[in-house]
Amino acid sequence: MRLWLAALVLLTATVAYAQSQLPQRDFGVTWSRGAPKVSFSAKDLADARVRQELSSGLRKRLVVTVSSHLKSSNWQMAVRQFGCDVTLDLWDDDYLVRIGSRSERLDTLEQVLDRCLSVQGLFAGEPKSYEPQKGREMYFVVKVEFNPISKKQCSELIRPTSGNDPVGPITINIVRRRICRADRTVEFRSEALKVPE
Amino acid sequence: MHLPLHLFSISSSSAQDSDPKGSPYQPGDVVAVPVEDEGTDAEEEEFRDPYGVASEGRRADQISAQVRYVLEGIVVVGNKRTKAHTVRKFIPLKQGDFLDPESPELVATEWRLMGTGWFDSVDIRLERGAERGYVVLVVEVKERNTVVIEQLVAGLSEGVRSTTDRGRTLFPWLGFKITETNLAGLGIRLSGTALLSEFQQGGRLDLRYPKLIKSEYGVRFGTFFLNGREFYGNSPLVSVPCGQPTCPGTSTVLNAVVRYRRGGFMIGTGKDFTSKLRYSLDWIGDIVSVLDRPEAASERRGNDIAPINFAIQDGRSFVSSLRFALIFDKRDDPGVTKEGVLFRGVVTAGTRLLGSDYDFLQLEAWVRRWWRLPWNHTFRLGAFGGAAFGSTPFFYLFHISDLTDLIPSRFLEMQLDARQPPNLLGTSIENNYLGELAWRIDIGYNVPVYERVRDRGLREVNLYTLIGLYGLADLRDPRAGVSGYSGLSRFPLDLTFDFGFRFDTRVGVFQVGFSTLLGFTRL
Repeated sequence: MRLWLAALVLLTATVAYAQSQLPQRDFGVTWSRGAPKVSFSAKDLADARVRQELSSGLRKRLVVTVSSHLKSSNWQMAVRQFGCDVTLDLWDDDYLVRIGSRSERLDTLEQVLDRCLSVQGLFAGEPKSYEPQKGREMYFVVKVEFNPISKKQCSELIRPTSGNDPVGPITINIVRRRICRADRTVEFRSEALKVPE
Repeated sequence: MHLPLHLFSISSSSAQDSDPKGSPYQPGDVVAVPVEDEGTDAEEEEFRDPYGVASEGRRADQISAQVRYVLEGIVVVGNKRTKAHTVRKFIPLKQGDFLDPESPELVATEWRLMGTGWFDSVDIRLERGAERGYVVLVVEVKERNTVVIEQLVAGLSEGVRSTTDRGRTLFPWLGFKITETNLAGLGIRLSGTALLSEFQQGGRLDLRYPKLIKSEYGVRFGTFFLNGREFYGNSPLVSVPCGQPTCPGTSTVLNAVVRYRRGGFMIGTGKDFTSKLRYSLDWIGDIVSVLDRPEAASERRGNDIAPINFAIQDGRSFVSSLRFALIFDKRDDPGVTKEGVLFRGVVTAGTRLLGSDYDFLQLEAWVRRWWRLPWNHTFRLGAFGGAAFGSTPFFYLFHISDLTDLIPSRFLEMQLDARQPPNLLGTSIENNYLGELAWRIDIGYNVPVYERVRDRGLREVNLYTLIGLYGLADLRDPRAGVSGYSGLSRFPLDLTFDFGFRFDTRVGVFQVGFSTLLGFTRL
C-alpha cells in the first residue's frame, strides 16, 4: 500500500513539474452561470508547413483540447475538446471548415486560422465540475494538435505484418516516432485564477 | 480529358463506399451534411458555444463528407528507386473513382506509406484536373536508405571442438541479420542472416514478397547452410570410433559432440486475416549430414547410467516438414512494448508422406501480455509451452539454452554454448539439456529512466527486470524423470532471471543485460 501511495505521489509530482514547465499565455476567462468561458489564440501552430498542408486539398484536422486543473494538486477538473476539419475546395477556391456538426465556407486561410485557432468563448466544462472547488486556485492547459493520429491507428500501423521476431524490425521503430504523433503540437497554460465563490 | 461513363459506376461501390447509392450529383457539387439531432435538453443548450456543447467533453472525432471529385489520375513524384506502381498499390483509389477529400482513408494512406519504412516523408495533395470537378492525386515521397540491420547479437561462449577435447574453449561469436526492405523498388524484402564463430558458422537468405497472390497472400522463400556442433551430455562416457588417430577408446569427456552440416530450402505463404491476426504456412526441407559423432555415449542421470540419444540419423538424412503458425499481435509497439498481447502458436509436422526420414510433430505456443501501469512503468507476464512427439531431429527439440537467460540462446537453430546453466533450485534439471517437453512462465517489470520525444539519437532508456521459472523433460518421464532425487527436487525445473538496460535509439533497440556478461563468468 505504501508503495502504491509513493508511486501516486511521484506521478502527481511528475505531472505537476511537466505542467509547470509549459509557457504561460494570456487567457480571457469569463464565468457564465458557474462555468468558465475561455478565449485564447493558438495561431502560432500554423507555421509554413501547416499552412501548406491546409491547402493540400485533402481534409486536415486541428484538434484543440482545453483542460482545467487545481493549482494545489494539478487534479484535472474538466476537459473540453473540439476538432476543426479544414478542406480546400480546389474548384471553388475556398475552404470548407467543419466544427462539430456545423460547416461553413471561408474565403482565405487567415479566416480559417481565426476560426479554428483564435478561440472565443469556449465553455471549458460544466458547472458541476467547478462547484466543489469554489474559491480554490486553478489554471487552464491548452493543447493544439495538427493532424493527430489516434492511439489505435498508430498501433495498427506500426505492427509488423509478417515475420516471427518478437522484437520487430528496426525500421518499425524509426517510423513509429514519425507517424505516432501529431504533425505539430503547441501546448501552453494560463495564469492561476480563482474559481468564483 | 473525358472519362468513359462506366468508370463512375465502378467507383461508387469501391473505394468510396460512403457515397449515396445512385447519387445524381456532379463532380465538385457540395453535398449536404446530414444534420445531427442536437437534442432539446435544456441544460445542454445552456452550455452550447460556437464549438459545440460543453457536456460533450472529448468528442472531436466526427467527420463528414462535403465535396466529391472525380480522380483523373495518380502521380507519384520524388521516387527514384521505388516503382510508382508499388506506391499506387497503397492508394485505395483508381482513375475514375469518386474521391472524398475528407476521407480518413486518404489520411491513413499517408501513414501507411510511411509505415513501409521506405520513405523519410510522404505528402499527399490534390491538384486541379483538366476539367471542373476532376483532380489529380499527387503523392510526393522522399526516399530513405532501406538497408537496415534487423538483428545484431554478440557474446562469449564456451565450447568444445570435438568429443576428445579435454578442455572447453572460450570463443567469441557474432550474429546479425541485414535486410533490404525495398529490393528493386518493388517492396520485396531480402534478408541475410549469418552466424560467425570458431565452432559454428551459418548463413540464411530470405526473400519475402508481400501480397503477391491476389494482393492478399505473401510469398516467402528461404535457403540456408549451417556448419555446426551440437553438444550432448554432462561429463558423458563416450566411445569414439577406433581407427581414427585420436581414438581414445572409451573415456569420460566434457561433452559428446556431433559435428554436422545442414542445408535446406523453405517456401511459404501467409495472409493477414485482420491487422492483428495472421497466419503463415511453410514447407521446409533440410538435408543433414553428420560429419562426426561418438560411436556411443552414455551419461549419469541421477543414480542411473543412460545412453545419450543424439536425435539424428547417421550419415545423410532428409527432414521434410510443414509448419503452420498463427500470430495474434496486439502490441502497442513491437520495439519497446508498453501494453498489448502477443500470441504465437506453431505446429511443425514432419512425415514420410512428404519424403522425410523423420516422423514427428512439434507443438509450441507462447503468449505475452503487457500492462502499462498508471505511473508509466510496464508489467509483463509471459508463458511458453511446447511438446515434441515422434523421432524429432535435435534441432526441433527444445533446448535449455532457449528457456533460460543464463546462457546464450541458439542462433540460426545452432547451439552456441556447451555449458549447462546454473542449477539454482538444485533439481533434476541439471541432467536435462535437450527435451521433448518444455515450459516457462515469467514476469517482467520495466522502468523508463530516460524519455525524450525526438527523431534522432537516444529516445528512451528502460531498466528491465525479469524472473521466470522453466522446466524441461522428456515425454516418458515428465514428472520425475531421474532417480536419486526426492521431494521437489525430482521436478526438472529451475529459475531464470535477467536485468539490464534497453536503449531505444534511432537505429533500433539495443539491450545490455546481466545475461550479456555471462560469457565472462564461470557458471
